[in-house]
Amino acid sequence: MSKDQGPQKPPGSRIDVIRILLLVQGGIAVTTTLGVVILGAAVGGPLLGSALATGTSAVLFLWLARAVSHGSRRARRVAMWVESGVIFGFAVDLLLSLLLARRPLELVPVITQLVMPIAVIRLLRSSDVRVMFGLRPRKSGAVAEGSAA
Amino acid sequence: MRGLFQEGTEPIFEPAIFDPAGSDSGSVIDTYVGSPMYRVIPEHGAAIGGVLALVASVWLVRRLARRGNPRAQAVVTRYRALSVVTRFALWLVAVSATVHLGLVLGHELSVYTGLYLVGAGALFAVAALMLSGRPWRAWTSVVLIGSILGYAVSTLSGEAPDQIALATKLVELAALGVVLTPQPERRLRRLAGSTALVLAMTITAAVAWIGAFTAGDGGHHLGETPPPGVLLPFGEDREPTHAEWDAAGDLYAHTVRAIAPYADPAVAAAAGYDVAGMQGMGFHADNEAYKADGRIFDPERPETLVYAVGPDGPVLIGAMFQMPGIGNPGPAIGGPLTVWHAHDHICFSLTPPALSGLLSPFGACPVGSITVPITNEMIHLWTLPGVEEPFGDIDDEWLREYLGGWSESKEPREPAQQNASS
Repeated sequence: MSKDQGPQKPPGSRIDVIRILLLVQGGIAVTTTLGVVILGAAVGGPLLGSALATGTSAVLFLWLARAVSHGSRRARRVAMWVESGVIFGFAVDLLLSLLLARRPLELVPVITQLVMPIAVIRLLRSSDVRVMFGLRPRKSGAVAEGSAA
Repeated sequence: MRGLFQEGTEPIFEPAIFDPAGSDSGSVIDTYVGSPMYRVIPEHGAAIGGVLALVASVWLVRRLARRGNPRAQAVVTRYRALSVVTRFALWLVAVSATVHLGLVLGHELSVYTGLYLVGAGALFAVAALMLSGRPWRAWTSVVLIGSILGYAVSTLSGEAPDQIALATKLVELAALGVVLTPQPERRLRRLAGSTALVLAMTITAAVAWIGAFTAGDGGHHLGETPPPGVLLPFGEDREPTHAEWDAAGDLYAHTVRAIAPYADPAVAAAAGYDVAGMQGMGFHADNEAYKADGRIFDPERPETLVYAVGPDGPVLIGAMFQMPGIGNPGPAIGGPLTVWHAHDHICFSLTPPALSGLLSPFGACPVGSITVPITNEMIHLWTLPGVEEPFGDIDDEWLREYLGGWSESKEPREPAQQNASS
């Protein structure tokens, strides 16, 4: 076990849920990257930067999914920063929608840009997950696996 | 009406200003017809009720268990015995099941409602299997893949997915992610499962795009479903009146004459159009001064010129007029011939500033982009000879052929069809 890694996780734990959420976010980034590439090929335009940035984010999410499930503390920190960035982007989009269209965002962006990042952050910060990363639990006491999902 | 746009006269339009009170929801977007991909269609509203009913049912079972009901206690005990990841999958599957049940309630009886009912039953069955503690992965994968395939078939047959459909598929894909996570861990199987999940998501998104664009194919007339990213005013298509033909023809002829000098981008640049970085088949060169001059639908001062960069350089293909402010309807002086449109859910890159696409089916824009929920109204006027519809949409295939022919002959091709102006 490396210095960066916590103890072995039990099977079917919260880390598996985090891994799946990060994988889904990675899949979303992959589809978005393909969309930019196709648009760039079809109509032209300065989209190389967007394609590269989105492709990088796809790789990042997929790496995070793997690294977090292996208990990497660095990946845990990076994941929390990345998810915070996603939430910030959501806030900007929400503000624009309220100002320009006078309505909130649709259901799917709320799920993918708000609910999923919040879920990942909350799970990463939960006591039993902190223990799996070799960190101290936030509160003394129970860190049992059986707490509510 | 003839003479409305005769040379020497100034078109005068009083812009109608958007009034939130005129919309049921107070939202500008709801005053337009848009692609279902960015909306919840009314028939699917019951699905949201289904999810709320699920949450209420869970609350009730927990309450009954606390009060000593033995059946409720047995359910809660079985649930608590599950691993966290199995509970996660159980919730996802149960949500999908209740959505399918809600879809049955929201539609009139048809083959689709029968399929929704079968889907709901199968999803409830695997949810019960999970709760029972028996092996559930194989059956769950069959049911989830079947549900996703069912969505693909219905979407590819031309039914654009809406937000409920896309959210449900997202939930099912996440559940599929659980199913594809091997227990106990096997490195290669895990890699294969992750790859399969990303592939399934890519296919699901591609199917959504294809369905939405198929449903909106050619949708730029009143009463049609537009493609994603386009908003049309409400209304039914009809034959234009003689006066509308005349007004549209006058406007068209006047505009063609007025912008002809801008075939040379240097002349356009001198007039204030931003032609820098011209590329692609539909480069829009804005004139910031004309956008702010308060003049509406002025053939002498279109807010934007549109160029296509062909094999021999840029070709002026038309102009675009814009309305000031969001939600303000443009004057349809040619009736159904001159239908203005707006755009919605556009991704706009900030580095560098450029259109970077449309909001994806999974609700994401490229990194570094913001989502522009709605734009002001605009209308295109295509000045190429032979263009099928001088106002509205231009056929990309036709444009490529035109530019190819123009390149070979160095002269514009003969008009293939009559313009509205003729």
